[in-house]
Amino acid sequence: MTRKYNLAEALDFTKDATLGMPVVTAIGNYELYVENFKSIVSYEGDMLKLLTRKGMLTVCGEALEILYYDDEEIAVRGCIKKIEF
Amino acid sequence: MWRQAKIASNYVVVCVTSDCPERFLNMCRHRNIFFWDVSKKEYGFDGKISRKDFLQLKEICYKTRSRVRIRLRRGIRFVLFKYRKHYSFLAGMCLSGLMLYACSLFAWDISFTGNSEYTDSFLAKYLSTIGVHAGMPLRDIDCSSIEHSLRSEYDNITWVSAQINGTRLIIHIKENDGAKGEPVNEEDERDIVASADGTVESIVTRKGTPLVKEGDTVKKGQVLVSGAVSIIDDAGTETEKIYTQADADIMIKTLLPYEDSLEASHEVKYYTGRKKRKLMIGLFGTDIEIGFSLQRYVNADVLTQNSVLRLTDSFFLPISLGSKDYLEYEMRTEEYEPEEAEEILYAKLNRYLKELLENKVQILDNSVKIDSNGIVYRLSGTLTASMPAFSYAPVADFDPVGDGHEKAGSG
Repeated sequence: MTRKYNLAEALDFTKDATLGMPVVTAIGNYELYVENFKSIVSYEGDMLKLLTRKGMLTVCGEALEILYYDDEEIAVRGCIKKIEF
Repeated sequence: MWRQAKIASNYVVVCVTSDCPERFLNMCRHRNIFFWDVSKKEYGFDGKISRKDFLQLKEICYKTRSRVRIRLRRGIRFVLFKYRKHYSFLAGMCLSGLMLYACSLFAWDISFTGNSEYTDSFLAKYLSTIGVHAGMPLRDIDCSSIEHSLRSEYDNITWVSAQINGTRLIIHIKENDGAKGEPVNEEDERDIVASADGTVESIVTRKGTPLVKEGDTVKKGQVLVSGAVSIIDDAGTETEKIYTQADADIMIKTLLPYEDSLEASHEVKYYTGRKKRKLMIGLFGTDIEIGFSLQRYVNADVLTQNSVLRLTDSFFLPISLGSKDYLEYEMRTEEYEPEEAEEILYAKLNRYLKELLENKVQILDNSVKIDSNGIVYRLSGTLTASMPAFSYAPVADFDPVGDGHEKAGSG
């Protein structure tokens, strides 16, 4: 664990705000919301790779669509099968 | 939130041909150009983008060697541009704008709030008699005269406020739900007189001279408490007489006659089960029924449902849609059974007794009997009641000349 992580843990701060950790919210296997992502690395119909501060986040599935994206968040829709860091 | 705002505005559906769509999307993101509903295709991707963002794509396309092609345009701006040379379209737009403006000059709906005793249709009928009706120009509506007319026409309406909201005339009403009583002129001297024959059960005088006591028998019109108060000196002689407003709580035991009758033969409405429905369109206050029916009902109840079309909560249009249901019935003459007639008459009596109780009348005895001659059932008799059976009258021997004309108290 990094020093920043320990400090955030000691002060009971949220990790996404202090460390810029990605926040992944899944609604069933149908929708996925990823906050604090840096960029889109790869986008195919069955796979989406996102770069985050924690590393690469890979979403595998079928008929993946980008519902929307903005500065902080990206929403993915489709039949999600796997989420991998 | 931005997404809803973009969808509501003008946007284009584009297909982006690119070897590296990820780079294209990342560059867009860094320049605050946002796509939505992006789906991957062999040639690149399809997506939606606002018109404003689309115009900023040129440089990104150049850098990523991508091509963006518009597939669909969505939004009122594009529609207006497409039909800019169709004069009929422009004329239709202008005409509809004029019609909306013309519609906004009239009151198409009159609604009432706060009324319970007087129904909406009853009040609307009255308003039509004074020239206020749906479809009249807003400039001809005089809210203050409507308020004054309603207040003066109906005593039970204590407060009225008429308000024009868009194309609606809203009338707020407050009805008098308190006790009804004659307004008392605080300036007048008065006696308290009996309003019915009976026996005084209790008397508590606050002002004036009591002339009766508990147990006394009184006649209708007899003075119970006089407004004239004599001032007596130590020798017992009257030195002065002053006049005041007599005030007292008096309960008088009296007999109330009661009579009610019910004819044995009566007409009953029987629904035949046959019914028909007609659609109805209202245009500028006139209802037009749609459809033609060969069925003619001699007697029928008509249930009307009507809703006025509106653009906003306050902008009502002169168009209404609704339906009329005709329910056929026939009248049959039937005879009441004795038990049934008795039940109806006693139910009416109980309602009457309840009303009396609400008016502070206590029923001590009930000697009401039912009899019948085969044609009419009659419920008659007397009710023994303890009630405040008194009213006010001017002081009998009022003589202000020479005496003090001021108010005084007396136990």
